[in-house]
Amino acid sequence: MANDSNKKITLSQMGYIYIQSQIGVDILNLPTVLHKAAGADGWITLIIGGLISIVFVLMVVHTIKCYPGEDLFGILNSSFGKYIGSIAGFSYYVYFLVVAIYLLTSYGELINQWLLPETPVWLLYILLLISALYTISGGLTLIAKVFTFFAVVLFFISSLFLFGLADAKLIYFQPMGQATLSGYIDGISVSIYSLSSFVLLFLFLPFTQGSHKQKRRVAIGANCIVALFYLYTVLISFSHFGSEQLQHIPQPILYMLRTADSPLITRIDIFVLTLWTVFAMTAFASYLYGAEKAFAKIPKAKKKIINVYSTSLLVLAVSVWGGLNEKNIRMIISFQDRITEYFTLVIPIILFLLSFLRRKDKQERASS
Amino acid sequence: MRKIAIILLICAIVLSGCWDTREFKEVKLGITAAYDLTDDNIYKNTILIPNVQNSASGPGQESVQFLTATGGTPTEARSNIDRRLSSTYSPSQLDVLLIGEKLAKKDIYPYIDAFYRDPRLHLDAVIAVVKGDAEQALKVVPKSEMRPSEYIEGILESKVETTSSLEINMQKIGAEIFENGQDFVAPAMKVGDGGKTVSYEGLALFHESSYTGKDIPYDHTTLFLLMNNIKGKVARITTKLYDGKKPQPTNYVTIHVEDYSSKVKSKPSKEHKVKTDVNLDLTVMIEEYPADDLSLSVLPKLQKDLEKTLTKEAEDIIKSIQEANCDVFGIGRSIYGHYPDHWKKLDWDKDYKDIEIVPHIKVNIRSRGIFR
Amino acid sequence: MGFFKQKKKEPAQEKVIREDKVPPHQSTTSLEKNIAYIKEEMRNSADLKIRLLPDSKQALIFLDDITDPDKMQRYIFEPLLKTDGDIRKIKDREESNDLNKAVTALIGGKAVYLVEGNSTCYLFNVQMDASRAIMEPVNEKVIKGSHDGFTEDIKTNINLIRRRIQHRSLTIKKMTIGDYTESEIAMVYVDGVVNGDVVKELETRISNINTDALLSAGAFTEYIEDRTYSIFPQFLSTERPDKTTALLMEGRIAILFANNPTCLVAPVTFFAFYQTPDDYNTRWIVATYLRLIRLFSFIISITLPSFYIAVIGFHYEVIPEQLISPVLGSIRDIAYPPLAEAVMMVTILEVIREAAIRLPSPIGSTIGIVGGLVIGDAIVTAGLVSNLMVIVIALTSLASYVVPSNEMSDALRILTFPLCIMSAVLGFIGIGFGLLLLLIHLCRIESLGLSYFTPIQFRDVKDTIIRVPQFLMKRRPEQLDSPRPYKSNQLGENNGE
Repeated sequence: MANDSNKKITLSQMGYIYIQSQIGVDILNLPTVLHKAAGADGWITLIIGGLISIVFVLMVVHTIKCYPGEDLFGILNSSFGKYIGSIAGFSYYVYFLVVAIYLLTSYGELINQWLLPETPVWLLYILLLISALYTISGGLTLIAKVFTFFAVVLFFISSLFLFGLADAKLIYFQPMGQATLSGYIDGISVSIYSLSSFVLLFLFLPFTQGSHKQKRRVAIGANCIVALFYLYTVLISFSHFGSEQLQHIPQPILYMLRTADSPLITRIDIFVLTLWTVFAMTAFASYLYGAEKAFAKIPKAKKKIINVYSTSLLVLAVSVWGGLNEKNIRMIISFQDRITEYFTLVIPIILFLLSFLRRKDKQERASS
Repeated sequence: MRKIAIILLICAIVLSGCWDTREFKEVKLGITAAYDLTDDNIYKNTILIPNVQNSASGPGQESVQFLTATGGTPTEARSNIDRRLSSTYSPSQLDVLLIGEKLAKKDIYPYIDAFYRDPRLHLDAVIAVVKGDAEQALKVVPKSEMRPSEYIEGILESKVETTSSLEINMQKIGAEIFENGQDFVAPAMKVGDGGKTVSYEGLALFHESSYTGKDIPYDHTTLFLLMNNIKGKVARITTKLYDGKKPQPTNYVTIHVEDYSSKVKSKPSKEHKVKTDVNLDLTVMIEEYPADDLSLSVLPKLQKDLEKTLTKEAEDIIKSIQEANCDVFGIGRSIYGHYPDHWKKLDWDKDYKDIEIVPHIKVNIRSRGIFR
Repeated sequence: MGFFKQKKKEPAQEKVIREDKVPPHQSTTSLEKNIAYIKEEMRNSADLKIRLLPDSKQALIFLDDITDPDKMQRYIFEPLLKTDGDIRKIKDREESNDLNKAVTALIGGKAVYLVEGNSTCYLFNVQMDASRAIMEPVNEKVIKGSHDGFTEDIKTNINLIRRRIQHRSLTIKKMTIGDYTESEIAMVYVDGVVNGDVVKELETRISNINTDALLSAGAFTEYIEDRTYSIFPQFLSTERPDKTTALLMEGRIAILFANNPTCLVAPVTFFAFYQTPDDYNTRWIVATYLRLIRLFSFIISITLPSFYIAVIGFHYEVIPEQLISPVLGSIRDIAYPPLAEAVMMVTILEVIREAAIRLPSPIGSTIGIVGGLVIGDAIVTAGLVSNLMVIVIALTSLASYVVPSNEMSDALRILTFPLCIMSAVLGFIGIGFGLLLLLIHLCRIESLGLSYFTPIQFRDVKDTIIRVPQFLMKRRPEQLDSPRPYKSNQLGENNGE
């Protein structure tokens, strides 16, 4: 396990890791969720959310800069002290687990709905889990290689989305500015959550080569690419479906591709769904990696090998329970929604503020 | 670690069956379907299933099979059809969905709901309205066709190329069915020649999801589609310019539309609540001019006459779509989009009939052909 | 992605000096010093032989594998006896006071005669003539380019390489493996181009081999490769000296075996198995086209049968309407499920292939005709396999033979099976997971500690998926981390990426 964790990844690999861990299954639902929250203004809220997420990325990068060579758990320990730090570390373990479970169940639900209604969902879970474990067992360098390779899929899928432009109508973007303030706030928070993987930067950035300036540039660049990809998806879905119809379609992008015909092959949605497995796997793998790292940092934890197994078996068990019916899935989702706020927004802000105190400490120490 | 993973993987696959397998050879694919309402208002579904005989050199002659069943919903009728088939019937490759006039005049959405909901069904099917019974149209099997199952689809596709019909499928009308202030048109067909052929009749005007009973007749469809910013591969308009000239054909002129631009602009107005301008600029070639004196000096007059006649025709079209209450230009949606406050004051179902739609047609004659 | 591209500093790179432009190095009168200098310049290469004459006052230096002992006897030793050991009286000699010139001459197949107390080097031409019949390897034919190949004689093989790389930094290290067989192997690399860590790694691995008998190159790889459990070959085996030379000049290491014409090259990437010397001999546009064809056939050869199974068994929605009736007509009367059809057809083809290899060649072609035509036609008529499946499998195996490397082609054909099973269980999702696991596995493999399946970087695409003109390929592959990253001495303006 992670035998070459002392090897560092390159900047571009870090960028690709960040992109791939952001884009999960969520993005398929994003247009509908945004439209429900803010109507035709959904895409504006996405832009605002994207800008705010850049602020968060900057905060995370700054925090890491203040604690050189330490990852999330090291930073937690040195900011909060040993006891609270370990508790915070453990709660991050729970958080990463919950997100991983959420990603797994939502992937299973997606495939079950669209492609394989009869296939037991645990088989899909196991396959995804094995792929993810296989990836993370090679350590950060393998994750970097695999994720970089799969970036090709992103470009490929983006080009397939262009089929949706055939029936696009610009009038569906109108009327603008009709959403209420609460609608806007809803939309913005949805957008930020959909871009919330910046927490993972705490895990990847300290192990990246390059100066802080370069790291900052790449992190922001990757964040922008993800946000632009989201925007692209949202814009295409909005222009393709009328506002009324969009409310009824949970995965507009896939739905749109159902009628996209090419002379060789029809039903492009099936191919996109298959390719989406890649995104589901990469996002899942990076959270599982986070959980593994977190578990390794818990004091008195047993041998590492046991970690990954116990962690992944836990994920699998909860996911199978979630896959039993829709009510359980909703429970997982709502639980995840509730805790996401603390782990992706509150704690990074606190760490950011604490990093200033620490700097003052240092300066005082240096001057005295 | 790796060994365990591999064993797990192999076990998972070997122990699993093939739950979702649906063998292609065990499926009967319906290519064309007809939905009707019987006289007792019971839903009736007729399907056409092509069967290909396997022959040594490529696919052989196709034979078709018709099955009719009634039921409460299309899915129930589908299972009633299934009872009489050796293998499962699947509408997942449906190309054409014919809807009988009687059913179309009711709400069609409940009958096509399954297509939107089931990810396995094909949303790419063309919807067409048949005057009278759709079943009759479906059962027309011309001897001359190699593939009888593609007969009706062929008619519709060739009309799209000549700008007489438009590309339509359930996905495309989906937005219009759901959206307020936006309606759609679908091709209309009729059984002719004593049941031997099916002919294309024009475009059926829908309001929300029911057929209004009014059509745009075949000779006006090209102009209508051009106004609606749709052009197939060729667009040709034959129009009657003059009255009373002899011999009869000299009253007519045929133009070939080479290029066009069309814009529909709506804005609120006081008298009529909404005023819409339909601008259509055509660049044309004179393809047929039986009067035979097409000198340069005649052109300006011809151009004026053409503009006048076409505007007249466009007004007729607009009148009929307004009477049908079919907002095919999406005027309501555009008002809602650009003037949401004004939209709130409107009762679109009622007001649409009274709004002012003015066509402005400009013709630019680019060429007179190779014969002067 | 320009965004992530980091500005890299131009790495400092030592200039390589051509053999004919080496600055003169005055020879000394001390025999010992002269020999030490030559040894160092030749990187202590294993084929450098120094023969001290009995009184240790005179030495004959030559490269073992490219010189002819008969000639040496005839031109040096016999005249020497006649002239009572006075070298100056022998004819057909060149003289020089420049040790570097002497080294250059050594590489050219000359013998250098040094005398203690005399700074003059005497050079004799004793180059070995390529007298043995050198044939083009049967399984690696090219259309254009050199038509020679390695033989069973390791000396000839080293000779073939030395002739192509006329530089003193070509280094040869010889070792013997096998307590009984004492099989000789030779590690060949270009010093200064190859990454030193990789050489050390390979040396350690070879020295760790502990066996009675080293029987073949294949067995050798199993002792030293990174992942023995992988289906993918991690050492490129070739019998072509031109290919070996090209790979050596990229900064890789070649391993030659005594009594075996196979040469193993490492570290390699996955894409190296898709390159042939032909690529560099034709116009680059044609070569690019051929490379793309090979890439396409790679995709075809592993996915086509599973794709077909998934479409027929799961997702017939994807068949365009024009194809429905031909497809339906072809498969309707087939008794077996598509997976069984595929397995049956693949097995039949493999049986035909194996049979054709073992039989003498005139009968082999008959078997091909009987197997291919008769069985193929009969099996369709009998309704066991649909004619579409025959097309699919035939295309698949044809596509797998497009790969220039034999081992890779075998690997691809075996990979078809797991993917077919996955797709028979889960349809497209199964193929998706299969390919996902396969790609992760490829990313995991390392060849001598360097990554095997480097994620495609823009810079490396130039000579992997496509082939750009030579003047655009200024750099050696990134993967190798060569101390000499550029292919020429001129850096700077001519070298803009």
